Amino acid sequence: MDSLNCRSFREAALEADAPREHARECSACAQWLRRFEQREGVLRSLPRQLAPESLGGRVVAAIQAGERQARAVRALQGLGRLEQPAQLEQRVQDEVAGEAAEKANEPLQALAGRQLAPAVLDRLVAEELSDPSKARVARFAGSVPRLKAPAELEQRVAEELARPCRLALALLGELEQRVAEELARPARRNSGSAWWIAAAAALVLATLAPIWILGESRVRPFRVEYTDSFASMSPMSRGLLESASSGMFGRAAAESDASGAARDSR
Amino acid sequence: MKPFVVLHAACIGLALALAGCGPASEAGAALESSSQGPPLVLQAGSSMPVLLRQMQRAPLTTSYQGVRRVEQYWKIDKFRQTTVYREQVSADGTGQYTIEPLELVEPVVTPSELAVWLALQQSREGFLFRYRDLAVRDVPTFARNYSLLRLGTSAIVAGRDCEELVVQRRTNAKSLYTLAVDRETGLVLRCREETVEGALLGLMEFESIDFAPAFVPAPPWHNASNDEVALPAGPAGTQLLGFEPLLPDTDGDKFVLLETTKLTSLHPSGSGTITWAKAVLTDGLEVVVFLHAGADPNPPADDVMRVSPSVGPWSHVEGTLHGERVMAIGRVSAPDLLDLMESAL
Repeated sequence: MDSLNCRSFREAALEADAPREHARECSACAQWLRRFEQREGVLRSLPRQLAPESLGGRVVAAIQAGERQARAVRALQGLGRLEQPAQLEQRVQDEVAGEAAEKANEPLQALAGRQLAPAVLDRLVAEELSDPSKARVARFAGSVPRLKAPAELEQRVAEELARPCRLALALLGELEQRVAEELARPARRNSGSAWWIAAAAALVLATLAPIWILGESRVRPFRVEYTDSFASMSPMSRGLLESASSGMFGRAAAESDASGAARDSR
Repeated sequence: MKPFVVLHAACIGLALALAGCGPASEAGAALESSSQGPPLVLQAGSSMPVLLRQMQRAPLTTSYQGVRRVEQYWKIDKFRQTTVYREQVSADGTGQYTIEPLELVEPVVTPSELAVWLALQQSREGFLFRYRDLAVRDVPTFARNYSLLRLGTSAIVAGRDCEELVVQRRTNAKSLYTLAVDRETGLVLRCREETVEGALLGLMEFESIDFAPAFVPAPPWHNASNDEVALPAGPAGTQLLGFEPLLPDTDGDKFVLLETTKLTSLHPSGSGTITWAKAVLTDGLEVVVFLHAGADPNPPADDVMRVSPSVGPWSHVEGTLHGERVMAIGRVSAPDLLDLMESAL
């Protein structure tokens, strides 16, 4: 394969009316062209999606974003100045003078018809004034929505708790089998085995226990977040997992993201 | 409860070890023959069995063309997903290969969805051949991390005489593989993957295979559709990438580095590209892809790694370490991926 000619041919082949002669001589490019045309056909067969109606307006606004402020200033400058009607000033003066006279004659008259505050308000205000910090905390904490722990958390906690147990049980099972095999051998191999077991117990306990305890308290030099959706996953990761799963990942991730969005909206 | 169990196990374990019949007495032994008594488990050692080396070489050094059925029964997040399909795989024995999807059996989809799936599946052939299909990728590392049980039984798959093996990781095993390996070529003709509890996760089985294909006309051998190039070591690699690549430390012998490459992907915003340093590691059987994209333009205040829900047997972690954007996916546990991340610091 002539890599330079092949590359030029493949770049040119992206144009619909590009010459195809090279593909007759180069089997690799002929295969490439066949697959390219097949994929192009598949893409063309996909249903055409309509853009939302608001897109046109948003595109124009984005393209002319720099001009928007200047246009607004020009439009305002172009507006003529309007004079207020002559009777407006007189009317405002009359209103102000009338209100002042009412308050002077009957100050409580202005409050007539208003609702009285409920009696409990006095108590709540008194509590707030006696301990403002406590009242503020109670008010804000009570209004915060309660979040439910994701199901994934419970599963992971259970797995973490079960890990050392599983390891120990696996070890136990294997060793018990070996004990049975050992005991089944002739008596001369078993003589003194009780002493060995007693000595072994102390030594292995001293060796394994610290390892077991340290294994439980593993601290990593970074924070680990277990997510319950694929929403934050990068396109590169999604692509790799889509390939690894032969397309299953895309379907499941869409369902997972949709259920996550529904959960968030609740 | 837990301390009691450990104490119990410890007592018996040390007693057996001191009595000379525990695992310690077999440490360092090579693969032992199963000609008499029960089959023995492969142990780490210098003498590697011929079968494993044959299995490692077979996918690229054997000329063959066959049709196989692939079944995947995965749990992705909390959703159960099943995919069953048939494909034709061809290899010329010199490194060229192609995988042609033939039929999607399950799920049932519309004709246009099928056309899209076939086209996408075909475009994934490089990934599928290199990373999806079970293979012994590094024999010494495989021997350290896996138990191999030769069942001593035969199976006929696609008309070929196969030896049956059971493969399981020595520690933290998530899966158990039952393989049927062609006795003549070492090619895996059937691979059944189950959880340790016995639930079927996947099955690959050849329905027919030809070890002397004519390849006339030549099938469309795989051509890389991206710009992936081998990454030279040292300053030349740094210069090619524009940043110093972070690589996991494989001194622990749990994983070994298979290859390092450079590739680019489109930026999610649609403008420009992102350059990645890609390292492929293996524990002998499973693959981990470790990716580093250099400095994060909007790094978080502290180092954080996000662990996504598992995708069948695949785990994924992604985040920012010391201001560098990194991610890893692999058919290993999430803690294994986090260990690799930690080792790269």
